[in-house]
Amino acid sequence: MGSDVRQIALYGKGSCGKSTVAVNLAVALQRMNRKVLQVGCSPKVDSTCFLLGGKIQSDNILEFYREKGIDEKKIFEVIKEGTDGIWCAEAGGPAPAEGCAGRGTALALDFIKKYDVAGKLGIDFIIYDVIADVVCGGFAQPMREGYAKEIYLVANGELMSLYSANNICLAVQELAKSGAEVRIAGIINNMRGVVKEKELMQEFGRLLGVGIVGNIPRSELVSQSEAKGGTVMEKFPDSPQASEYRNLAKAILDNTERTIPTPVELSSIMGILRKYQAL
Amino acid sequence: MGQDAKNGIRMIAIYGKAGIGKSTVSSNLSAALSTMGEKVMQVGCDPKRDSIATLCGKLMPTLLDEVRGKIVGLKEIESVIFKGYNDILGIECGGPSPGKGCAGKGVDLALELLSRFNIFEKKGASFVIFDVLGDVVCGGFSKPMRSGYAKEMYQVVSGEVLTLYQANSIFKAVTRLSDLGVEVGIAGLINNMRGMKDEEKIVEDFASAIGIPVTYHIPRSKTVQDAEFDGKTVIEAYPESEQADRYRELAKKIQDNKDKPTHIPRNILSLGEIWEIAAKYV
Repeated sequence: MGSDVRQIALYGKGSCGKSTVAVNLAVALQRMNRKVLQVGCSPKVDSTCFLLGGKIQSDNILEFYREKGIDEKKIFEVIKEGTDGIWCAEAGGPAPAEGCAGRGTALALDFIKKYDVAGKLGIDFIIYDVIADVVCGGFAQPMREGYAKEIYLVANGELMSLYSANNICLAVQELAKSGAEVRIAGIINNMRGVVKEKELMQEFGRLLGVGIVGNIPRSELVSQSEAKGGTVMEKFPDSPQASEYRNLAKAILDNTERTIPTPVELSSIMGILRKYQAL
Repeated sequence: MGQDAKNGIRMIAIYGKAGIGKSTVSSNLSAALSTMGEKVMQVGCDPKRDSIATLCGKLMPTLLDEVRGKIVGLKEIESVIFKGYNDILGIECGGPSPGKGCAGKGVDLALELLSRFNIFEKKGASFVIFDVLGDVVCGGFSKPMRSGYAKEMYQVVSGEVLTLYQANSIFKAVTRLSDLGVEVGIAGLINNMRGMKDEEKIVEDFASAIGIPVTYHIPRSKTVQDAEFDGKTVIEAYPESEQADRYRELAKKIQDNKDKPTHIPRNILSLGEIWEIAAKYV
Protein backbone atom coordinates (compact mmCIF):
# COMPACT_ATOMS: atom_id res chain seq x y z
CA MET A 1 0.00 0.00 0.00
CA GLY A 2 1.36 3.41 -0.89
CA SER A 3 2.70 5.53 1.94
CA ASP A 4 0.28 8.29 0.96
CA VAL A 5 -2.63 6.17 2.22
CA ARG A 6 -3.56 7.16 5.75
CA GLN A 7 -4.67 4.12 7.76
CA ILE A 8 -6.38 4.47 11.11
CA ALA A 9 -8.03 1.91 13.40
CA LEU A 10 -10.79 2.42 15.94
CA TYR A 11 -10.68 0.28 19.06
CA GLY A 12 -12.86 0.31 22.18
CA LYS A 13 -15.19 -1.64 24.38
CA GLY A 14 -18.07 -3.46 22.70
CA SER A 15 -21.15 -1.24 22.38
CA CYS A 16 -19.26 2.01 22.99
CA GLY A 17 -20.19 3.21 19.52
CA LYS A 18 -17.15 2.40 17.36
CA SER A 19 -19.15 1.66 14.23
CA THR A 20 -21.37 4.71 14.68
CA VAL A 21 -18.29 6.90 14.98
CA ALA A 22 -16.64 5.10 12.05
CA VAL A 23 -19.49 5.54 9.55
CA ASN A 24 -20.09 9.19 10.41
CA LEU A 25 -16.37 9.90 10.31
CA ALA A 26 -16.15 8.14 6.94
CA VAL A 27 -18.88 10.34 5.45
CA ALA A 28 -17.36 13.51 6.94
CA LEU A 29 -13.93 12.65 5.51
CA GLN A 30 -15.34 11.73 2.10
CA ARG A 31 -17.03 15.14 1.99
CA MET A 32 -13.65 16.72 2.71
CA ASN A 33 -12.44 15.17 -0.54
CA ARG A 34 -10.80 12.11 0.87
CA LYS A 35 -11.44 8.77 -0.83
CA VAL A 36 -12.37 6.52 2.06
CA LEU A 37 -12.40 2.75 2.49
CA GLN A 38 -13.98 1.41 5.67
CA VAL A 39 -13.00 -2.10 6.66
CA GLY A 40 -15.17 -3.84 9.26
CA CYS A 41 -13.01 -6.22 11.28
CA SER A 42 -15.67 -8.12 13.17
CA PRO A 43 -17.12 -11.51 12.30
CA LYS A 44 -20.54 -9.93 12.89
CA VAL A 45 -20.05 -8.00 9.60
CA ASP A 46 -22.20 -5.04 10.65
CA SER A 47 -19.64 -2.23 10.60
CA THR A 48 -20.54 -0.75 7.21
CA CYS A 49 -24.26 -1.47 7.43
CA PHE A 50 -25.29 2.20 7.77
CA LEU A 51 -23.17 3.18 4.76
CA LEU A 52 -25.15 0.63 2.77
CA GLY A 53 -28.69 1.75 3.49
CA GLY A 54 -29.00 -0.16 6.77
CA LYS A 55 -28.41 -3.52 5.14
CA ILE A 56 -25.79 -6.08 6.06
CA GLN A 57 -23.31 -6.33 3.19
CA SER A 58 -24.28 -9.39 1.19
CA ASP A 59 -20.72 -10.62 0.77
CA ASN A 60 -17.77 -10.57 3.10
CA ILE A 61 -14.19 -11.37 2.22
CA LEU A 62 -13.72 -14.59 4.19
CA GLU A 63 -17.01 -16.19 3.27
CA PHE A 64 -16.45 -15.32 -0.38
CA TYR A 65 -12.94 -16.71 -0.14
CA ARG A 66 -14.22 -20.01 1.30
CA GLU A 67 -16.97 -20.38 -1.27
CA LYS A 68 -15.54 -18.94 -4.46
CA GLY A 69 -11.93 -18.03 -3.83
CA ILE A 70 -10.43 -14.56 -3.99
CA ASP A 71 -8.18 -13.23 -6.70
CA GLU A 72 -7.26 -9.83 -8.11
CA LYS A 73 -10.64 -9.56 -9.85
CA LYS A 74 -12.92 -11.22 -7.32
CA ILE A 75 -11.76 -9.05 -4.44
CA PHE A 76 -13.61 -6.15 -6.08
CA GLU A 77 -16.87 -8.09 -5.99
CA VAL A 78 -16.86 -7.95 -2.19
CA ILE A 79 -15.94 -4.30 -1.85
CA LYS A 80 -19.12 -2.30 -2.27
CA GLU A 81 -19.75 1.33 -2.93
CA GLY A 82 -21.83 2.96 -0.18
CA THR A 83 -22.91 6.46 0.81
CA ASP A 84 -21.19 9.20 -1.23
CA GLY A 85 -19.03 6.60 -2.95
CA ILE A 86 -17.31 5.39 0.22
CA TRP A 87 -15.86 1.93 -0.33
CA CYS A 88 -17.02 -0.67 2.17
CA ALA A 89 -15.46 -4.02 3.02
CA GLU A 90 -16.25 -6.54 5.70
CA ALA A 91 -13.46 -8.94 6.68
CA GLY A 92 -15.92 -11.57 7.90
CA GLY A 93 -14.95 -14.38 10.19
CA PRO A 94 -15.01 -18.10 10.77
CA ALA A 95 -18.31 -19.92 11.11
CA PRO A 96 -19.64 -19.10 14.62
CA ALA A 97 -18.10 -21.29 17.31
CA GLU A 98 -15.34 -22.50 15.03
CA GLY A 99 -11.85 -21.42 14.18
CA CYS A 100 -9.94 -18.28 15.06
CA ALA A 101 -11.56 -14.95 14.26
CA GLY A 102 -8.30 -13.06 14.47
CA ARG A 103 -6.55 -15.25 11.95
CA GLY A 104 -9.48 -14.70 9.61
CA THR A 105 -9.19 -10.95 9.98
CA ALA A 106 -5.48 -11.15 9.20
CA LEU A 107 -6.14 -13.11 6.01
CA ALA A 108 -8.82 -10.69 4.85
CA LEU A 109 -6.54 -7.70 5.42
CA ASP A 110 -3.78 -9.45 3.50
CA PHE A 111 -6.05 -9.77 0.46
CA ILE A 112 -6.84 -6.04 0.54
CA LYS A 113 -3.15 -5.26 0.57
CA LYS A 114 -1.97 -7.93 -1.84
CA TYR A 115 -4.42 -6.94 -4.59
CA ASP A 116 -3.73 -3.23 -4.07
CA VAL A 117 -7.35 -2.31 -3.44
CA ALA A 118 -6.38 1.19 -2.33
CA GLY A 119 -4.27 1.87 -5.41
CA LYS A 120 -6.82 0.55 -7.88
CA LEU A 121 -9.75 2.40 -6.34
CA GLY A 122 -7.81 5.59 -5.66
CA ILE A 123 -8.35 5.31 -1.91
CA ASP A 124 -6.30 7.58 0.33
CA PHE A 125 -7.90 7.00 3.74
CA ILE A 126 -8.64 3.62 5.34
CA ILE A 127 -10.66 3.21 8.54
CA TYR A 128 -10.43 -0.17 10.27
CA ASP A 129 -13.36 -0.66 12.63
CA VAL A 130 -12.24 -3.42 14.96
CA ILE A 131 -14.38 -5.66 17.16
CA ALA A 132 -14.56 -4.91 20.87
CA ASP A 133 -11.46 -5.07 23.03
CA VAL A 134 -8.13 -6.49 22.00
CA VAL A 135 -8.55 -9.46 24.24
CA CYS A 136 -6.33 -11.73 22.22
CA GLY A 137 -3.67 -11.57 19.58
CA GLY A 138 -6.27 -12.02 16.86
CA PHE A 139 -7.76 -8.59 17.15
CA ALA A 140 -4.39 -6.91 17.24
CA GLN A 141 -4.01 -7.87 13.56
CA PRO A 142 -4.94 -4.43 12.14
CA MET A 143 -2.08 -3.02 14.27
CA ARG A 144 0.46 -5.18 12.46
CA GLU A 145 3.24 -3.72 10.33
CA GLY A 146 1.93 -2.29 7.09
CA TYR A 147 -1.61 -1.64 8.36
CA ALA A 148 -2.81 0.92 10.89
CA LYS A 149 -0.09 2.62 12.89
CA GLU A 150 -2.56 5.21 14.08
CA ILE A 151 -4.97 3.95 16.72
CA TYR A 152 -7.93 5.86 18.13
CA LEU A 153 -9.56 4.73 21.36
CA VAL A 154 -13.32 5.12 21.36
CA ALA A 155 -14.44 5.45 24.98
CA ASN A 156 -16.96 7.02 27.31
CA GLY A 157 -16.92 7.93 30.99
CA GLU A 158 -18.15 4.57 32.27
CA LEU A 159 -15.79 2.41 34.28
CA MET A 160 -15.67 -0.61 32.00
CA SER A 161 -15.19 1.50 28.91
CA LEU A 162 -12.16 3.21 30.48
CA TYR A 163 -10.87 -0.16 31.65
CA SER A 164 -11.04 -1.53 28.08
CA ALA A 165 -9.33 1.56 26.64
CA ASN A 166 -6.58 1.05 29.17
CA ASN A 167 -6.24 -2.60 28.08
CA ILE A 168 -5.82 -1.50 24.47
CA CYS A 169 -3.05 0.84 25.64
CA LEU A 170 -1.37 -2.15 27.30
CA ALA A 171 -1.43 -3.99 23.98
CA VAL A 172 0.00 -1.00 22.09
CA GLN A 173 2.69 -0.46 24.70
CA GLU A 174 3.73 -4.11 24.45
CA LEU A 175 3.78 -4.04 20.65
CA ALA A 176 5.81 -0.81 20.67
CA LYS A 177 8.33 -2.37 23.06
CA SER A 178 8.88 -5.19 20.61
CA GLY A 179 9.61 -2.70 17.84
CA ALA A 180 6.22 -2.20 16.18
CA GLU A 181 5.41 1.26 14.85
CA VAL A 182 1.84 1.27 16.15
CA ARG A 183 0.91 4.28 18.32
CA ILE A 184 -2.12 5.75 20.02
CA ALA A 185 -3.22 8.90 18.20
CA GLY A 186 -5.96 9.98 20.56
CA ILE A 187 -9.18 9.30 22.42
CA ILE A 188 -12.59 9.85 20.88
CA ASN A 189 -14.91 10.55 23.80
CA ASN A 190 -18.19 9.17 22.50
CA MET A 191 -20.18 10.38 25.46
CA ARG A 192 -22.80 8.41 27.33
CA GLY A 193 -24.02 11.40 29.29
CA VAL A 194 -22.36 10.60 32.63
CA VAL A 195 -21.58 13.44 35.02
CA LYS A 196 -18.52 15.57 34.11
CA GLU A 197 -17.66 13.20 31.28
CA LYS A 198 -15.38 15.67 29.43
CA GLU A 199 -13.37 16.51 32.54
CA LEU A 200 -12.89 12.95 33.64
CA MET A 201 -11.89 11.85 30.13
CA GLN A 202 -9.39 14.70 29.99
CA GLU A 203 -7.80 13.46 33.18
CA PHE A 204 -7.87 9.84 32.02
CA GLY A 205 -6.09 10.96 28.83
CA ARG A 206 -3.48 12.83 30.85
CA LEU A 207 -2.71 9.70 32.86
CA LEU A 208 -2.28 7.66 29.68
CA GLY A 209 -0.32 10.44 28.01
CA VAL A 210 -2.93 10.59 25.24
CA GLY A 211 -4.89 13.58 23.94
CA ILE A 212 -8.64 13.86 23.39
CA VAL A 213 -9.31 14.25 19.69
CA GLY A 214 -13.03 14.85 20.06
CA ASN A 215 -15.93 14.92 22.50
CA ILE A 216 -19.02 13.61 20.72
CA PRO A 217 -22.22 14.33 22.64
CA ARG A 218 -24.91 11.70 23.03
CA SER A 219 -27.67 12.40 20.54
CA GLU A 220 -31.06 10.94 19.73
CA LEU A 221 -30.28 11.68 16.08
CA VAL A 222 -27.98 8.65 16.01
CA SER A 223 -30.76 6.13 16.56
CA GLN A 224 -33.16 8.19 14.45
CA SER A 225 -30.80 8.12 11.49
CA GLU A 226 -30.11 4.42 12.02
CA ALA A 227 -33.85 3.76 11.98
CA LYS A 228 -33.82 5.46 8.57
CA GLY A 229 -30.98 3.18 7.50
CA GLY A 230 -28.18 5.72 7.40
CA THR A 231 -25.70 8.00 9.10
CA VAL A 232 -26.38 11.27 10.92
CA MET A 233 -24.19 12.95 8.28
CA GLU A 234 -26.61 11.92 5.54
CA LYS A 235 -29.96 12.06 7.30
CA PHE A 236 -29.38 15.20 9.40
CA PRO A 237 -26.53 17.00 7.63
CA ASP A 238 -27.44 20.40 9.10
CA SER A 239 -27.72 19.22 12.71
CA PRO A 240 -25.26 20.17 15.45
CA GLN A 241 -24.42 16.46 15.72
CA ALA A 242 -23.24 16.38 12.11
CA SER A 243 -20.99 19.38 12.89
CA GLU A 244 -19.49 17.36 15.74
CA TYR A 245 -18.53 14.58 13.32
CA ARG A 246 -17.12 17.12 10.86
CA ASN A 247 -15.04 18.65 13.63
CA LEU A 248 -13.81 15.19 14.57
CA ALA A 249 -12.84 14.50 10.96
CA LYS A 250 -10.93 17.80 10.79
CA ALA A 251 -9.20 17.09 14.09
CA ILE A 252 -8.12 13.67 12.84
CA LEU A 253 -6.87 15.04 9.53
CA ASP A 254 -4.75 17.61 11.41
CA ASN A 255 -3.68 15.26 14.18
CA THR A 256 0.00 14.43 14.37
CA GLU A 257 0.01 12.87 17.83
CA ARG A 258 1.56 9.39 17.92
CA THR A 259 2.05 8.21 21.48
CA ILE A 260 3.31 5.13 23.24
CA PRO A 261 0.78 5.26 26.07
CA THR A 262 1.37 4.74 29.77
CA PRO A 263 -1.42 2.41 30.91
CA VAL A 264 -2.58 2.67 34.52
CA GLU A 265 -3.93 0.41 37.26
CA LEU A 266 -7.65 -0.03 37.69
CA SER A 267 -7.40 1.77 41.03
CA SER A 268 -6.32 4.96 39.23
CA ILE A 269 -9.37 4.73 36.97
CA MET A 270 -11.60 4.25 40.01
CA GLY A 271 -9.86 7.25 41.55
CA ILE A 272 -10.82 9.48 38.60
CA LEU A 273 -14.41 8.29 38.71
CA ARG A 274 -14.62 8.99 42.45
CA LYS A 275 -13.14 12.44 41.98
CA TYR A 276 -15.61 13.54 39.30
CA GLN A 277 -18.66 11.52 40.13
CA ALA A 278 -18.70 11.41 43.90
CA LEU A 279 -22.28 11.68 45.01
CA MET B 1 -31.65 -30.09 30.39
CA GLY B 2 -29.54 -27.92 32.60
CA GLN B 3 -28.95 -30.48 35.28
CA ASP B 4 -25.86 -32.56 35.00
CA ALA B 5 -27.00 -36.14 35.40
CA LYS B 6 -23.71 -37.15 36.98
CA ASN B 7 -23.54 -34.84 39.93
CA GLY B 8 -26.77 -32.86 40.09
CA ILE B 9 -25.02 -29.51 39.68
CA ARG B 10 -26.88 -26.91 37.60
CA MET B 11 -24.34 -25.48 35.21
CA ILE B 12 -25.52 -22.48 33.24
CA ALA B 13 -23.76 -20.13 30.85
CA ILE B 14 -24.58 -16.48 30.27
CA TYR B 15 -23.82 -15.22 26.76
CA GLY B 16 -24.44 -11.89 25.04
CA LYS B 17 -22.93 -9.00 23.16
CA ALA B 18 -20.19 -7.00 24.85
CA GLY B 19 -21.54 -4.13 26.91
CA ILE B 20 -25.00 -5.67 27.26
CA GLY B 21 -24.66 -6.31 30.99
CA LYS B 22 -23.75 -10.01 31.25
CA SER B 23 -21.55 -9.60 34.29
CA THR B 24 -24.11 -7.41 36.06
CA VAL B 25 -26.82 -9.98 35.38
CA SER B 26 -24.55 -12.89 36.34
CA SER B 27 -23.38 -11.38 39.62
CA ASN B 28 -26.84 -10.31 40.73
CA LEU B 29 -28.20 -13.68 39.71
CA SER B 30 -25.49 -15.43 41.75
CA ALA B 31 -26.18 -13.18 44.72
CA ALA B 32 -29.93 -13.75 44.52
CA LEU B 33 -29.56 -17.53 44.16
CA SER B 34 -27.26 -17.62 47.18
CA THR B 35 -29.88 -15.88 49.32
CA MET B 36 -32.34 -18.54 48.17
CA GLY B 37 -30.19 -21.30 49.66
CA GLU B 38 -28.17 -22.30 46.61
CA LYS B 39 -24.42 -22.84 46.86
CA VAL B 40 -23.21 -20.76 43.92
CA MET B 41 -19.95 -20.65 42.07
CA GLN B 42 -19.39 -18.01 39.38
CA VAL B 43 -16.75 -18.57 36.72
CA GLY B 44 -15.59 -15.52 34.75
CA CYS B 45 -14.57 -16.54 31.22
CA ASP B 46 -13.11 -13.26 29.96
CA PRO B 47 -9.46 -12.20 29.98
CA LYS B 48 -10.57 -8.82 31.34
CA ARG B 49 -11.33 -10.68 34.61
CA ASP B 50 -14.17 -8.36 35.53
CA SER B 51 -16.91 -10.89 36.15
CA ILE B 52 -16.70 -11.48 39.90
CA ALA B 53 -15.50 -7.97 40.85
CA THR B 54 -18.83 -6.91 42.36
CA LEU B 55 -19.09 -10.16 44.32
CA CYS B 56 -15.60 -9.81 45.77
CA GLY B 57 -15.36 -6.01 45.99
CA LYS B 58 -12.45 -5.70 43.56
CA LEU B 59 -10.68 -7.31 40.60
CA MET B 60 -9.18 -10.63 41.68
CA PRO B 61 -6.12 -12.56 40.44
CA THR B 62 -6.87 -15.18 37.81
CA LEU B 63 -6.41 -18.92 37.52
CA LEU B 64 -4.17 -18.61 34.46
CA ASP B 65 -1.94 -16.04 36.16
CA GLU B 66 -1.58 -18.40 39.12
CA VAL B 67 -0.79 -21.55 37.17
CA ARG B 68 1.45 -20.04 34.47
CA GLY B 69 4.77 -21.86 34.43
CA LYS B 70 3.86 -24.14 37.32
CA ILE B 71 2.97 -27.75 37.85
CA VAL B 72 -0.63 -27.36 38.79
CA GLY B 73 -2.18 -28.99 41.80
CA LEU B 74 -5.30 -28.48 43.84
CA LYS B 75 -3.48 -25.98 46.06
CA GLU B 76 -2.76 -23.59 43.16
CA ILE B 77 -6.34 -23.75 41.96
CA GLU B 78 -7.81 -23.29 45.42
CA SER B 79 -5.66 -20.21 45.94
CA VAL B 80 -7.60 -18.33 43.25
CA ILE B 81 -11.07 -19.39 44.33
CA PHE B 82 -12.41 -16.48 46.33
CA LYS B 83 -15.24 -16.27 48.77
CA GLY B 84 -17.43 -13.30 47.94
CA TYR B 85 -20.77 -11.97 49.10
CA ASN B 86 -22.83 -14.54 51.03
CA ASP B 87 -20.13 -17.22 50.57
CA ILE B 88 -20.49 -17.27 46.80
CA LEU B 89 -17.34 -18.73 45.29
CA GLY B 90 -15.80 -16.79 42.45
CA ILE B 91 -13.04 -17.64 40.03
CA GLU B 92 -11.68 -15.77 37.02
CA CYS B 93 -10.19 -17.90 34.24
CA GLY B 94 -8.00 -15.05 33.03
CA GLY B 95 -6.21 -15.05 29.71
CA PRO B 96 -3.22 -13.82 27.79
CA SER B 97 -2.09 -10.20 28.16
CA PRO B 98 -4.01 -7.82 25.87
CA GLY B 99 -3.13 -8.19 22.22
CA LYS B 100 -1.22 -11.44 22.64
CA GLY B 101 -1.94 -15.12 22.30
CA CYS B 102 -5.30 -16.85 22.06
CA ALA B 103 -7.83 -15.95 24.72
CA GLY B 104 -10.07 -18.88 23.86
CA LYS B 105 -7.30 -21.35 24.54
CA GLY B 106 -6.81 -19.73 27.93
CA VAL B 107 -10.45 -20.20 28.88
CA ASP B 108 -10.24 -23.72 27.55
CA LEU B 109 -7.28 -24.59 29.77
CA ALA B 110 -8.88 -23.00 32.83
CA LEU B 111 -12.11 -24.96 32.38
CA GLU B 112 -10.16 -28.13 31.81
CA LEU B 113 -8.33 -27.64 35.12
CA LEU B 114 -11.55 -26.96 37.04
CA SER B 115 -13.03 -30.12 35.66
CA ARG B 116 -9.95 -32.31 36.07
CA PHE B 117 -9.74 -31.45 39.75
CA ASN B 118 -13.51 -31.81 40.25
CA ILE B 119 -13.61 -28.34 41.74
CA PHE B 120 -17.37 -27.88 41.43
CA GLU B 121 -18.07 -31.12 43.26
CA LYS B 122 -15.40 -30.56 45.90
CA LYS B 123 -16.80 -27.14 46.71
CA GLY B 124 -20.30 -28.54 47.02
CA ALA B 125 -21.72 -26.19 44.41
CA SER B 126 -25.38 -26.56 43.52
CA PHE B 127 -25.20 -23.85 40.83
CA VAL B 128 -22.29 -22.92 38.58
CA ILE B 129 -22.63 -19.79 36.46
CA PHE B 130 -20.26 -19.24 33.53
CA ASP B 131 -20.08 -15.58 32.51
CA VAL B 132 -18.64 -15.67 29.00
CA LEU B 133 -16.90 -12.92 27.06
CA GLY B 134 -18.77 -11.01 24.39
CA ASP B 135 -19.99 -12.75 21.32
CA VAL B 136 -18.92 -16.23 20.37
CA VAL B 137 -17.02 -14.94 17.43
CA CYS B 138 -14.49 -17.70 17.37
CA GLY B 139 -14.08 -21.28 18.48
CA GLY B 140 -12.40 -20.27 21.72
CA PHE B 141 -15.39 -18.72 23.39
CA SER B 142 -17.74 -21.49 22.45
CA LYS B 143 -15.78 -23.73 24.80
CA PRO B 144 -18.18 -23.60 27.75
CA MET B 145 -21.00 -24.80 25.51
CA ARG B 146 -18.90 -27.01 23.34
CA SER B 147 -17.51 -29.43 25.84
CA GLY B 148 -20.60 -29.91 27.92
CA TYR B 149 -19.66 -27.58 30.77
CA ALA B 150 -22.88 -25.67 30.38
CA LYS B 151 -25.74 -27.23 28.51
CA GLU B 152 -28.16 -24.59 29.68
CA MET B 153 -27.51 -21.21 28.10
CA TYR B 154 -29.12 -17.84 28.66
CA GLN B 155 -28.71 -15.12 26.07
CA VAL B 156 -28.71 -11.56 27.42
CA VAL B 157 -30.24 -9.09 24.95
CA SER B 158 -31.96 -5.72 24.83
CA GLY B 159 -34.58 -4.38 22.45
CA GLU B 160 -32.06 -2.69 20.15
CA VAL B 161 -32.19 -4.00 16.62
CA LEU B 162 -28.46 -4.49 16.19
CA THR B 163 -28.18 -6.23 19.55
CA LEU B 164 -30.87 -8.69 18.55
CA TYR B 165 -29.17 -9.18 15.21
CA GLN B 166 -25.82 -9.82 16.84
CA ALA B 167 -27.35 -12.56 18.99
CA ASN B 168 -27.43 -14.48 15.71
CA SER B 169 -23.79 -15.43 16.08
CA ILE B 170 -24.66 -17.30 19.28
CA PHE B 171 -27.79 -18.82 17.73
CA LYS B 172 -25.80 -20.03 14.74
CA ALA B 173 -23.15 -21.49 17.05
CA VAL B 174 -25.76 -23.39 19.07
CA THR B 175 -27.49 -24.67 15.95
CA ARG B 176 -24.21 -25.80 14.48
CA LEU B 177 -22.98 -27.53 17.64
CA SER B 178 -26.34 -29.21 18.09
CA ASP B 179 -26.15 -30.52 14.51
CA LEU B 180 -22.77 -31.95 15.40
CA GLY B 181 -24.35 -33.85 18.29
CA VAL B 182 -23.24 -31.61 21.16
CA GLU B 183 -25.80 -31.47 23.94
CA VAL B 184 -26.44 -27.76 24.12
CA GLY B 185 -29.43 -25.44 24.00
CA ILE B 186 -30.75 -22.06 24.95
CA ALA B 187 -33.01 -22.01 27.98
CA GLY B 188 -34.16 -18.45 27.41
CA LEU B 189 -33.50 -14.83 26.61
CA ILE B 190 -32.86 -12.36 29.43
CA ASN B 191 -34.00 -8.92 28.33
CA ASN B 192 -31.68 -6.52 30.13
CA MET B 193 -33.58 -3.45 29.06
CA ARG B 194 -32.02 -0.23 27.77
CA GLY B 195 -35.15 1.76 28.51
CA MET B 196 -36.61 1.89 24.99
CA LYS B 197 -40.30 2.34 24.31
CA ASP B 198 -42.11 -1.03 24.01
CA GLU B 199 -38.86 -2.88 24.62
CA GLU B 200 -40.64 -5.85 26.24
CA LYS B 201 -42.95 -6.27 23.26
CA ILE B 202 -40.11 -6.08 20.75
CA VAL B 203 -38.12 -8.76 22.56
CA GLU B 204 -41.22 -10.96 23.07
CA ASP B 205 -42.01 -10.79 19.34
CA PHE B 206 -38.41 -11.54 18.45
CA ALA B 207 -38.38 -14.47 20.88
CA SER B 208 -41.52 -16.04 19.52
CA ALA B 209 -40.23 -15.65 15.96
CA ILE B 210 -37.12 -17.66 16.78
CA GLY B 211 -38.87 -20.10 19.11
CA ILE B 212 -37.05 -19.32 22.35
CA PRO B 213 -38.87 -18.08 25.47
CA VAL B 214 -38.04 -14.87 27.31
CA THR B 215 -37.00 -15.89 30.82
CA TYR B 216 -37.30 -12.39 32.26
CA HIS B 217 -37.40 -8.67 31.46
CA ILE B 218 -35.06 -6.70 33.75
CA PRO B 219 -35.90 -2.98 33.86
CA ARG B 220 -33.17 -0.37 33.53
CA SER B 221 -32.39 1.14 36.89
CA LYS B 222 -29.91 3.64 38.24
CA THR B 223 -29.63 1.44 41.34
CA VAL B 224 -27.37 -0.85 39.29
CA GLN B 225 -24.78 1.88 38.70
CA ASP B 226 -25.01 3.08 42.28
CA ALA B 227 -24.27 -0.42 43.53
CA GLU B 228 -21.40 -0.97 41.09
CA PHE B 229 -19.92 2.33 42.15
CA ASP B 230 -19.64 0.81 45.62
CA GLY B 231 -18.14 -2.35 44.10
CA LYS B 232 -21.23 -4.39 45.03
CA THR B 233 -24.21 -6.14 43.51
CA VAL B 234 -27.67 -4.62 43.89
CA ILE B 235 -28.62 -7.60 46.03
CA GLU B 236 -25.87 -6.76 48.50
CA ALA B 237 -25.94 -2.96 48.40
CA TYR B 238 -29.68 -2.34 48.08
CA PRO B 239 -31.44 -5.58 49.13
CA GLU B 240 -34.70 -3.73 49.79
CA SER B 241 -34.80 -2.01 46.39
CA GLU B 242 -37.25 -2.82 43.63
CA GLN B 243 -34.36 -3.76 41.38
CA ALA B 244 -33.24 -6.39 43.92
CA ASP B 245 -36.75 -7.85 43.73
CA ARG B 246 -36.38 -8.07 39.96
CA TYR B 247 -33.13 -10.03 40.22
CA ARG B 248 -34.70 -12.35 42.80
CA GLU B 249 -37.58 -12.98 40.41
CA LEU B 250 -35.10 -13.77 37.64
CA ALA B 251 -33.30 -16.17 39.97
CA LYS B 252 -36.58 -17.88 40.86
CA LYS B 253 -37.45 -18.30 37.16
CA ILE B 254 -34.07 -19.85 36.49
CA GLN B 255 -34.35 -22.11 39.53
CA ASP B 256 -37.72 -23.25 38.23
CA ASN B 257 -36.26 -24.07 34.81
CA LYS B 258 -34.56 -27.05 36.43
CA ASP B 259 -36.17 -29.85 34.51
CA LYS B 260 -37.37 -27.91 31.51
CA PRO B 261 -35.95 -28.57 28.07
CA THR B 262 -33.68 -26.08 26.35
CA HIS B 263 -34.20 -24.86 22.79
CA ILE B 264 -32.46 -24.67 19.46
CA PRO B 265 -33.52 -21.54 17.51
CA ARG B 266 -36.29 -22.42 15.08
CA ASN B 267 -34.97 -19.91 12.56
CA ILE B 268 -32.41 -17.16 12.31
CA LEU B 269 -33.84 -13.75 11.43
CA SER B 270 -32.24 -11.39 8.94
CA LEU B 271 -31.54 -7.80 9.90
CA GLY B 272 -34.50 -6.75 7.74
CA GLU B 273 -36.86 -9.10 9.57
CA ILE B 274 -35.73 -7.72 12.93
CA TRP B 275 -36.24 -4.16 11.67
CA GLU B 276 -39.80 -5.14 10.75
CA ILE B 277 -40.47 -6.32 14.30
CA ALA B 278 -39.09 -3.11 15.78
CA ALA B 279 -40.89 -0.94 13.22
CA LYS B 280 -44.25 -2.19 14.48
CA TYR B 281 -43.66 -0.29 17.70
CA VAL B 282 -41.98 2.89 16.48
